[in-house]
Amino acid sequence: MTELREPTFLVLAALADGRKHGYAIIAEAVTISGGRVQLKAGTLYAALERLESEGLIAKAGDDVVDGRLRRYYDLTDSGAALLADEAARQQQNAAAATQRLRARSIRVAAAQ
Amino acid sequence: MSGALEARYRAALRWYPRSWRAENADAIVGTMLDQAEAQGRSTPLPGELRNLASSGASRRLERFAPRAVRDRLALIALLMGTALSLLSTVLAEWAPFVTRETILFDDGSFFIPAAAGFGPFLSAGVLIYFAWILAFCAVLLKRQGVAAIVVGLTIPFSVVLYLFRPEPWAANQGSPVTSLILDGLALLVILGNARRPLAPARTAIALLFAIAVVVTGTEFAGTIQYYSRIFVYFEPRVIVAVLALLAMVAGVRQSHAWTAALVLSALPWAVISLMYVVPLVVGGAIGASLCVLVIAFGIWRASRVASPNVPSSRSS
Repeated sequence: MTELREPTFLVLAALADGRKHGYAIIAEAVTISGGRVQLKAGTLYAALERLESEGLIAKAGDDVVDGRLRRYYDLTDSGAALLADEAARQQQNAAAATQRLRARSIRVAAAQ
Repeated sequence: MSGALEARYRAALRWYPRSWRAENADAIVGTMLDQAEAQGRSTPLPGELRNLASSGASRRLERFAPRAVRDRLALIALLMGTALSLLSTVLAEWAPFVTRETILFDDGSFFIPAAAGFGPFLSAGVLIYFAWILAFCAVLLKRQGVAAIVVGLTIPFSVVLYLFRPEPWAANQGSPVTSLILDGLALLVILGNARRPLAPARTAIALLFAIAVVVTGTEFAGTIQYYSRIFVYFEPRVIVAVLALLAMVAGVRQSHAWTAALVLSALPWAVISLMYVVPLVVGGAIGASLCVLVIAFGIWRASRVASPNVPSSRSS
C-alpha cells in the first residue's frame, strides 16, 4: 500500500464524516492536526483535483452563499477504504512506538 | 473591501491555465474569501499569493508534460541510466575485464589502466555508475525521494569529475559525452516519479530488457570508459529503433502516456545518432528538424493525456 502524505491524509480525514466545501476542509484539517497544518488554497485544490482523478473523492454539488461559490466534495468508497487502511497503519505504528517507550521508561527507572 | 480582495485573488489566479480558471476560479476564490473572513483579513497573505503562483505554474506545466508522462519518462531514463551504468562498471571500468588491447583511443593510442586506476576500477567515473545503481535499488524499495537525491547529486559531481579528470584523459582524450548523457537522463529522473508507472517486480524485469537493448547496440569493451567518446563503439540507433517500436505498440494500444514518454525518451538518442552518422552541419540541421517534429508529436500525445476527453484508463 502506498503511504499517504500528511496533507492528503488530512483532506481524506476531513471528508470522512460527510461532504464539505473548500474552506470547511481547511478548517477541519487544522482541527485534526491540532493546529499544525494549515492547507493553502492552491495546495488544497491541487490535492482535490488529484484525489478526484484517482477516484478517492467526488464532487458533491455547488452552493452559492453570500455571492460566493462553495463547491462540495465527498469521500468515495475507495477513498474511505484507503483512509481506513492508512489510519490502521498509523495506529499500529503509534502503538508499537508507545510500547517501546514504556519499556524504555521501565528500564531507565530500574537503572536509577 | 471584499471586492478588492476578490480582485487580488482573481489577478493571482492568472498563473493558472485559462481552462482551469473557467472551471475552478469561482470555487477557489470563494474558499479564500471564506478563509480571509474567518481570519478577519482584508488583504491576501504573501504566502497565499506565492502558493497560487507555484500551484498555477505547475498546473500549466502539467498541460504540456503531464505527471503520467513525466513519471514514465523518469522510469525509462532510470532504466537506461542503470543499464549503461551496470554494463560500464563491469565491462569497461572493472580492471579484470579491461586489457591493454581494449583501451584504444580514437587515434590508436592506448594506456595501461594502472596509470589511471581508481582502486580496482579504471576511473572515478565508476562512482557515478554506483549512484545510478543505488538509485535504481531505491526505486525498487519504493524510496523515490532517495533515488531523486542520489541521481540529482551525480549532476554536479560529474562536472567536478570532468574538470579534475586525471591523466591520460586530462589532455586531449577526455570527453564529457558519457557524463552529459547521464546528466540528461538524471534530469528526467528528477522531473518525474520513476516508482509510479510499474510495480517493483516489473521494473526489475524492465531493467533486464534495457540491459539487453544496450548490449545489442554496443561493442562492449574497455573503450566505453567514463571519460572516453563512448559512441565510437556504441550504436544509439538500436536504442532509437527499440524505443520507436515500443512507442508504436503503445500507440496501437492507445496508451497515450507511454507513447508520449517513449517518443520523447528516444529523442536524445536520435539526435546523437544523426550527429554521429552524418557530418556535423547536415546532421545538426536534420537533428534540429527531427527535434521539432518529435517534440511536437510528443507534446501532442502528452496533451491527449491531459485532455479531459480522454478516459483516464487510457493514460496507463
